[in-house]
Amino acid sequence: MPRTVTIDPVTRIEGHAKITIHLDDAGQVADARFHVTEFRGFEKFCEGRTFWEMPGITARICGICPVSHLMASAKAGDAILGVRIPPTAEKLRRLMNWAQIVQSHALSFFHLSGPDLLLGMESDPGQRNLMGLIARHPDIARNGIRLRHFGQEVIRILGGRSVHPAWTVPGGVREPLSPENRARIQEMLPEALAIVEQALELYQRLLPQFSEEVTVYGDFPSLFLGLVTPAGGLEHYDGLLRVMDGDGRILEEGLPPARYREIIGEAVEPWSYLKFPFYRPRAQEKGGRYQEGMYRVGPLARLNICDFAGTPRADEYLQAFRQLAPQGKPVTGSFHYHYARLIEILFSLEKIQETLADPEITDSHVRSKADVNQLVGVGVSEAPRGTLFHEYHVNEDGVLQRVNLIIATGQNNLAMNQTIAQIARHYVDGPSLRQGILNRLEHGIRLFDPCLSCSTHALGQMPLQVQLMGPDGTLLDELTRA
Amino acid sequence: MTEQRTPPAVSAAPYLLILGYGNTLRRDDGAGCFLAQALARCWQARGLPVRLETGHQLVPEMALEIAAPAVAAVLFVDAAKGLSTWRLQPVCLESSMEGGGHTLSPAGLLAHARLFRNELPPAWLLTIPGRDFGHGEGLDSHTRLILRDVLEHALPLWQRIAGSTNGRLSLASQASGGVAFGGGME
Repeated sequence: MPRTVTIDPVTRIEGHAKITIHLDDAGQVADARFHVTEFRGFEKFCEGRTFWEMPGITARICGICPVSHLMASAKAGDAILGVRIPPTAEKLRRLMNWAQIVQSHALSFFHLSGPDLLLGMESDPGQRNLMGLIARHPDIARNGIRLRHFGQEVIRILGGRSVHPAWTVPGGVREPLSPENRARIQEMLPEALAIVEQALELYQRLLPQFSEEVTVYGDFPSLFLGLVTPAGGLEHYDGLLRVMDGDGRILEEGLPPARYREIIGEAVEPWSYLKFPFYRPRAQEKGGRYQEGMYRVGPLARLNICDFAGTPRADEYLQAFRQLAPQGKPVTGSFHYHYARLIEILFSLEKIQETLADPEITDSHVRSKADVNQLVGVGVSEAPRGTLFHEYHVNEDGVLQRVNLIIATGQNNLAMNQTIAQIARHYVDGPSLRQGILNRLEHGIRLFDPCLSCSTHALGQMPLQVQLMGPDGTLLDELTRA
Repeated sequence: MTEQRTPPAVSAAPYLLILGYGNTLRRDDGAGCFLAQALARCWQARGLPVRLETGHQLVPEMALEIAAPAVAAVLFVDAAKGLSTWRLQPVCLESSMEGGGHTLSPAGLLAHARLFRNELPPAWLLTIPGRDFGHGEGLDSHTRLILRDVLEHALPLWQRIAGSTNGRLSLASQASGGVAFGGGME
């Protein structure tokens, strides 16, 4: 008799989601689905507003990574103005984007995933949380806070506040960086660099304990997509699109981001409000099945597709990271998103250090002035969670006629679904469930650090409910974590 | 604008750290921020040492603010549904059982702060009832009345908080218009 296990909700703050596990007649896992059950409608209600307002509006999509939307939106605005922003403005935007990556990745690794990694995937859920981490590993908890504080403080110094700073605008940025503020950031850098190096050493020591998880938590071939510099280096703000397949072959090289529609399609399913972006050419090759065009974005993808990082210490760690896969092949295990995140923190800190040493960084010319010169603008940057696309169509007054946003979490949708299916098939056997399995499934989602991750974390008071349903809707079994 | 911060104190003189939090674009949810700002202005006008920080929510890095040695007490200010009137309560570290994440409770934040400071300052939570948490700016008229009532009790509120600091914060004179002790304090 086919049955369904439902985990609902797996989120609490900025989105609502649930997981259903579908069992076949033999009680084995037939499929698993990650449902995003909240509709927000940003693309629609932005129509009729001006593109000038879009950084401020779209930043409200997220209180966790608003900087990413600010960047992509301002870049779409730059394209509508048809201007090249001043070199210093670009450097300052990059600084803020790296700071955002530092704070977001720090929270993901230390606070959201740290308890699982350090206290055990199936340890007592009453202890497997941040309080447990503070009790057992205070130094690590302390480091996580300090590193996140660094990122937030840099954002605040540049933009005036750490959440929704109204600083990045079409044409550049509103305020230059003063020499005093540059010195403040420079003073904070040594501690941040030391912390991430310690975290990388810790992760390398921990990794052998997770050999099973590495092979089960979303380890499958897929495509990888992201931005690289024109020379092929690791890129977070601008650059060109590159797509790599699961064997390490480059499928797209140097594609201007504004042409993203040539390669990315978006599918919808009736059971989720989150769209399913896919790589169009691969889906066409495989008879139109969009699932065949599954690709991953974010830290794992970025480290796979780049030829080099471009900073000394990050390049050393990138070499070690690449040893996780056969020569010339990408790292396919989603578990290694954790590792990739730490390397990206290190890279971002090194780039911040390098950029602050540039004498131009305190130049006062930080904004180009223009009016509407193009009726379409595409802005693309790398958010902590992956590539972010903003496309705006405006009339001659700059009023939005059409908006398309493709966010990183959506692009990992197919991969997240495949990851929880793989975990479920490995750990779920028959109609009974252990509490620890629920956390394993949540950790599978947490690897991708979607905007839902804060709520999918093993919270001591998380209202997680799992239901085992018969085909007629009868409740057969139920697990609740409170 | 939700996020606001006064500059760090230049001296090491003890001060009250006020953390007001909520979303000012969700009507009464922003009442914590507005009240925190109003209380800070009121106390500063009397020469009382305060430092204000407001934000959408309590986040881990605020622990470093609490851990500053000169913080003599912490006052969290928030809005909540289901209350009939405002109330001031002590925050107990032991009551924290949360797992953490992007947002924290006052007790959870204190647990974070203890990583950086052995002896935590006394902490208080001032909660005001909200009615309308829908989209939009500005406060419900009833909530505005309650804010006014809290501000009328600003001096006894200060005395209650200062009284918990073993003399690190002065109790302040009642000569400049103190009012009766509010019924909303526990």
